[in-house]
Amino acid sequence: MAVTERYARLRLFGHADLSRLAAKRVAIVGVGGLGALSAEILARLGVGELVLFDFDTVEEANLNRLVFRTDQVGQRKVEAIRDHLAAANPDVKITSHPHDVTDGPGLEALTAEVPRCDLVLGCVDTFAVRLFLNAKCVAWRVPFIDGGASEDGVNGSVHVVLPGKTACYRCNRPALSDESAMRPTKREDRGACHFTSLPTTMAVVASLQCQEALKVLLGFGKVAPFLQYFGLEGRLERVDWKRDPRCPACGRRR
Amino acid sequence: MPVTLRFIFISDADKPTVSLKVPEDMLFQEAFVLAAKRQGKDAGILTATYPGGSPIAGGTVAEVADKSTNIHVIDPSIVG
Amino acid sequence: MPLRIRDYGEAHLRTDDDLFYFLQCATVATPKEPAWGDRAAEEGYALDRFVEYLRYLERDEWFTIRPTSPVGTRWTGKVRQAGREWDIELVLKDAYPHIPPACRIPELMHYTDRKVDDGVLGLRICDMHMERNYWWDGHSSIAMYLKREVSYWVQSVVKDMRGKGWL
Repeated sequence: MAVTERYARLRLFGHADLSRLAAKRVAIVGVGGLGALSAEILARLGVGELVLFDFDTVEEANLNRLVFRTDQVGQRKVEAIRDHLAAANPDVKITSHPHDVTDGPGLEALTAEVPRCDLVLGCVDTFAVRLFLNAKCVAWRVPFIDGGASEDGVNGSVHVVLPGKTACYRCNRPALSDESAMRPTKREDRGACHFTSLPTTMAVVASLQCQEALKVLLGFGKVAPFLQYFGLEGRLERVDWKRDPRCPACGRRR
Repeated sequence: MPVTLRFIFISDADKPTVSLKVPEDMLFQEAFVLAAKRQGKDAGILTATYPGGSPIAGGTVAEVADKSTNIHVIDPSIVG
Repeated sequence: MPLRIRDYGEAHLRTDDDLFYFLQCATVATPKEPAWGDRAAEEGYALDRFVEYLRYLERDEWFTIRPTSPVGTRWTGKVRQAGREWDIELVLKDAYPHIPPACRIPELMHYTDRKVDDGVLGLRICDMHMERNYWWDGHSSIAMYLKREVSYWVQSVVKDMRGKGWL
């Protein structure tokens, strides 16, 4: 960390040496409501390099959340946030990949970048991609911190996966491959495929995600395998999940 | 011989409990799906552990109930 | 003859629902892996069985589909509902089968907002309602996706369109 006033308040942090973040490389998959804020928090903390993945463009409906501006509507999210992060902290190296991580150039970039990263933050919006990222991070032994908000916008959760140590994203879900759970339910009458999203909940989840990221990267405090935030009641719950020995992703000694 | 399993949905307000009396040779997965349906949810992405976060031991209800009949169920948040 | 689930022997995959028993694929391989040839053959086999089931048992062959790429990662065809027919396109991404296929029915998607952004197709049909009752895993096939997601999507969009008098 350069000896400048920018990091003066960070140098006073007593639980860990935050200047070590300058040597760390963090990948953020999904730069939407959650990922953009996590990226800004990590940039302002002085993380050395951020690798961003998102194929989407900024839309007007995204502006109810933090970071993106009205004049950025129509730009790719990874390009729009690059300027914002550079303005926040020019010391951070930003690498952008405006591709889908599950296909073609995006998957190649993910395979090339993530094994060299110290941490992956998952800020995507589909369960399928979360499971996919989880499987990849467990295989490559890279810590993975997944964050999400609930469909009604008031709850949020953060799941920390330390491969080999804590429960992965696939653990402890007994019904996931269960045929009886797979009876198709008549939910086709549900309307538009978007969920409500509050900047308050997103900010809380992003902050919790980055706090756990700090603990994982610098090795201080007690990492919480799972945190759940309840906005309606103002409650935060921690669950110390253990690994499932029969987990298809991380069981049988992966 | 039936066994009563108590599924506690700790992600919901007031942590509601669903008590199910199920035969002990029933698969735990099926009992879990029934309990979720009773609570008005789909079991697909819900997690189930013993209180404290230990993974569920075993496939049948008898094996699971051997360790504890209380199951904590969490509904994760998945919008990004 | 491609490998069948009963030969594969995974206990958690057996089911008493015979239809889904033969719609699953035993091999889990992405299009870039060497075992993809086996998987592609199993996908074709599952689709053939599903079409037979629809043709002879349900008497409602509501789709026809064929591969357009040599390795079987792009499929095209038609879906039928209410006496009308629309084009359908399915793409299997490089991470398939760890993620479900992406499906596009452009003419119907024009009339509804049940669509989401996709990195490869631009827009694809929305299967977000499957999130809560998530069932997809590496052994699920295109045939299962058509049965469990596409059929319901088409039915619900056609129902909406009828309600608004557009059909």
